[in-house]
Amino acid sequence: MTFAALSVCALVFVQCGKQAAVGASRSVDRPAKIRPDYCGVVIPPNIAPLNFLIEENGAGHYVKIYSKDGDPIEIHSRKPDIEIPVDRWKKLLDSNRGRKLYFEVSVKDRENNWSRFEPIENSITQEEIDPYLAYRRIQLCLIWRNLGIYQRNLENYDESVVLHNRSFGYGCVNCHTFLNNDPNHMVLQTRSGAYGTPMLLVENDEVMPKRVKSDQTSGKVNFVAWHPSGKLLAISDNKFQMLIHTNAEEVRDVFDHASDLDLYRVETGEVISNSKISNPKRMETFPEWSRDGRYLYFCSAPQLPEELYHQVRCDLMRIRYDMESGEWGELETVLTAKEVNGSINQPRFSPDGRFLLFNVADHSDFPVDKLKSDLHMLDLSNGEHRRLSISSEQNESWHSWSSNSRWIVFSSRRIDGRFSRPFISYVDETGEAHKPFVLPQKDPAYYDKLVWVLQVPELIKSPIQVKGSQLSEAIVSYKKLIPGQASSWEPGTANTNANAGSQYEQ
Amino acid sequence: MVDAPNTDAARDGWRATFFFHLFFYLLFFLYIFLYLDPRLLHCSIMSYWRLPPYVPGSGGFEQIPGFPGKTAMCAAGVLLYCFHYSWAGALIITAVAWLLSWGTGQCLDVMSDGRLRALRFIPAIVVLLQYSRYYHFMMENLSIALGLLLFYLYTRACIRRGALRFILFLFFSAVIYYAAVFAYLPFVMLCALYELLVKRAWLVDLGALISAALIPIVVSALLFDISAAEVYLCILPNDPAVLPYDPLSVYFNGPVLYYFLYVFFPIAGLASVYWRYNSDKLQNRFRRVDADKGKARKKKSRKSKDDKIQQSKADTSQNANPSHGMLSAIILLIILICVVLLSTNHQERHYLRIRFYSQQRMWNEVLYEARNLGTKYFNVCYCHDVNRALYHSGRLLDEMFAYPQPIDWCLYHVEAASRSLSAMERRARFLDLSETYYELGRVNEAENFAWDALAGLKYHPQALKRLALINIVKRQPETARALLRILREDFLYRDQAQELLDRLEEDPDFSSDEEIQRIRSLIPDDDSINEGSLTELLAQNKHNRMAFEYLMASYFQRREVLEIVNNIERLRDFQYATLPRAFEEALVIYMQTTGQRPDLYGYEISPESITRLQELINILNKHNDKQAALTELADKFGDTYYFYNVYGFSGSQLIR
Repeated sequence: MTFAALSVCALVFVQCGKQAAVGASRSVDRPAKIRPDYCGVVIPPNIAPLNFLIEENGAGHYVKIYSKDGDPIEIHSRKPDIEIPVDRWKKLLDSNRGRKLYFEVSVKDRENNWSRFEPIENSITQEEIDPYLAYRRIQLCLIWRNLGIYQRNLENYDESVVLHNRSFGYGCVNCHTFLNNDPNHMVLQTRSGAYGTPMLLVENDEVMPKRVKSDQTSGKVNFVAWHPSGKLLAISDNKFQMLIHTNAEEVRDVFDHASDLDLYRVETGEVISNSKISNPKRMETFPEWSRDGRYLYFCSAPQLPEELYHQVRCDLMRIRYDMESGEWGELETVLTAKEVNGSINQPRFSPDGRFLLFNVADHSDFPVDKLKSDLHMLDLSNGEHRRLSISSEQNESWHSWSSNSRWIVFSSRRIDGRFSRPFISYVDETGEAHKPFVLPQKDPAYYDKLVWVLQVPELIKSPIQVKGSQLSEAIVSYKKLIPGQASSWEPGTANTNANAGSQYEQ
Repeated sequence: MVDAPNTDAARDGWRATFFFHLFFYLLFFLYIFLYLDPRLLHCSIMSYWRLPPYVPGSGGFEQIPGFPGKTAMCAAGVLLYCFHYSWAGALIITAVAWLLSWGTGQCLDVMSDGRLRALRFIPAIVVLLQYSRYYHFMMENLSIALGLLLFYLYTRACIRRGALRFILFLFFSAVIYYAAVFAYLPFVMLCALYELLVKRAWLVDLGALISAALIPIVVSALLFDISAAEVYLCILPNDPAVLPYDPLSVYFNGPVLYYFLYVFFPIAGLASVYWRYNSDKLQNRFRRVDADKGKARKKKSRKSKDDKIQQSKADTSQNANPSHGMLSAIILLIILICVVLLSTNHQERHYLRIRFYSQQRMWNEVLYEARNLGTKYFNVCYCHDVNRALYHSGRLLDEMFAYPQPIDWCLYHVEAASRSLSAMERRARFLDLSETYYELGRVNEAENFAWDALAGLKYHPQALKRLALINIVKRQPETARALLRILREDFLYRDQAQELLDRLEEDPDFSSDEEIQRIRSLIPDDDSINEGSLTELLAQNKHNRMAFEYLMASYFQRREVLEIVNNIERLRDFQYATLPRAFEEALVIYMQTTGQRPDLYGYEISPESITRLQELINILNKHNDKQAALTELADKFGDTYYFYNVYGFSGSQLIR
């Protein structure tokens, strides 16, 4: 009893001492340096805690996280790693939607003197972000030894594997594409020496391996766009080749020897080709449907010889297509490469149909391997386009929208110039994108230790329900379905020979 | 109650056994540590990962989705990574061998009442066989060890009621399936044999066999997301075709050793039960004869099962008398020595030592090992290592023809020539290619190969370090920092990474680092997507010695003597005191065939070189046929450019 009483007294004494010490701290007229950069960012109210590292030398650390309402969160830590409790964080954010959120950081030196830095100011929005993010985890190379599609709960740190290539002979899996952010309607592309190149079509709990082959198509699908009705897919068939620069900051470049678009009817499996979108003199790639489903947007450039790789610059084009009658309209140029002073790639419509987000690289129809590539926004209400100020000096690509059109997520190499990490940015009603923040992780130093890149982040409204085993069984069954479809290339390696087809994948 | 003399005998036997075991495993350890050298295995393992490797930091084992046996795989991955230290590797291998041996001994005790205990050394000998062939079945060995441990616990659980034993069986089988699936079937079969033949519990046995078919489904459904086929396929051993090719072994080859442990335990279990009942029958027959002689004997003939075990243990301790024990020990040691002598893959050892010393940049050692390597191991990768060692030790243009030099192989474009190699071997060379390109000044190609090495080998700390250095050379400190932070998570490279990070902090440009400055001076000015040539590199920096020597070596290989003559002047750029031997011989050939004497820029041709060519011509004339003179010329002039120029291959290839 006495011991318990003494313990309580001691605890109270220590706590009072602590508070007193922090309270008696000297003020530093700048915010503390923290990593990742969570300063001045706009965050959704349902995001997982933004754990961070304090990059100020000290023997003790104290952080107070507060807003107008709710209990502040106080964290004492000897280490500079600040891990915020999930439940209290959620409560704090939820009760302060639309308000500011402050991180007040204090650091104690070896002489027990506290320094209190200016609070770091962030903003909480009213609008939530879709709670799940699906992405591909891959290493930076031509060899696929260990890659997979993963999904992450954005409201906490739970990550799970959707499909790992271990389950189908270390093949390649790419470009998971969802219909209106709905994981119940998904397509996935796979390649493997053992099982061929099926496109996996997921409809609710059912997984169907599809062969997308016609007289005009190779059967290897690259980029896909769902028609808003869910009845049609626009697909691209590219023949990429890797190029190596002998003296450039960026080692790799990709050249597309041929690229065409086709349509694929989901119900019948029919492949629809048209010379307007598969012109041999031009390359057509990165399809995207307008939200009313009447227009197919895509990127297009003249087909050049390989030695002119640095002159490949794509325009943004569109063509009207009537899904019922199958009639095609005329080709229209929406935005030229000259207008944006670069090559337009990866157009993505906001779900409300008002904005078109795309990226612009110096050249190429494959922006991922560019040293620099910027995000641009086209406002369809007035036809104006602009480079988004959130673009960094590094590469930004693989952007996607949340279902409420208020959030975008994209892969960016801005942290270290090499490894792509998912960044989230708030887009207000005027189309202004606010300072992005990297996907928060439980371990604040997570990205310091991660040798993989996380790319093709796609926001989804709920978790993907199909199991990895269902997906891999579908891949395996494809070979039985269509014997002889296993390609000759060796699993786990990418053949960069252009004649071998589009085996270098995005 | 055992009487005092028997207790003493048992104690003596136990002591003898203990010291013998100690001696046996000490020899085992020393042989692995001093001769096989686990660092070589580490070098091989880092090039041929077939397990999830140790990956430091985020994105390690946990990123791989769960599957049966992943625990044993990951444990094996970490243990194999520790082979970086030879002593640690030897200790781990010895410990695993001991564990298997101990488990086998316990298993045989239960199944055969202590008979056939000598068989317990077989797994240890098989482990030695594996490593003397430079295979590394760590995951399989660990799985079997866990299986034996759980079988031991199962039999010693002192549970009389069959139902409870059955529950324990279910639990242990689920654990084995989850953690060490390789041992699942051996474990189930051992338990089934035990229940059927030792405990004579038919119902438990039947239940165990039926449940063995259901456990994989239940465990997979609860814990893994794997396909229905994989639920059962993973129980079977994996395809041993993934093993590195072993051209010298027929009986000790990978698949035989791989499957041996898998089938050994069920067979040993069956054999020991059979042995036990046969010897029991024999004993009973003698006892029946003795029973007629007196009542006291009758009592003994009705011995309980426990008494039998006591008797058998007494037999065992009697067997452990000094002379018997000594004989067993001698036989075992003879077997051990035979295994070592017959199975050790000395050629693989030479090959791995070349790889290891090459990675450590111990060039003289590389060349020493290369001289002892058989032609069966001779391939483009070996040539790459040897020529690099020759270059770094300043002997390329003097001694290159003392080693095999294929004519159709461009000296450093290994990736083109290596298409003849398997994917696994090719991947294993990415890092070497990266280093060669780096040394030549082609840093972008070096970076490309380093990334491929990192991913192709799943994880490779040296690739990370190489990438960091390349990015330092390319003045991209942020990327270098990111790579070094990842490397810092690796316990073997922590200090090196931290040192580079500290230096980056002080001087992001590494302006005081001579080697970095030297590599920067070698980088070509112009960007191109075409493969850069050695000529271009020399044009960029005429003091690029490696480019020069490799260019000359490629001229020698292609027998382009005129090109060699045209480059004599360049020797001055590199301050060669005298003409390198191959140069001299090429010039003598030039003078002999054209009758012209080129400008030697102050260099002189030694009279010995001229005499040697004359001798070679005399031998050729004597035989009047190139093929007929081959053996004699290879013997006398095999290491000369003269021989190479006549035949198109190095005579040293024949001498081997």
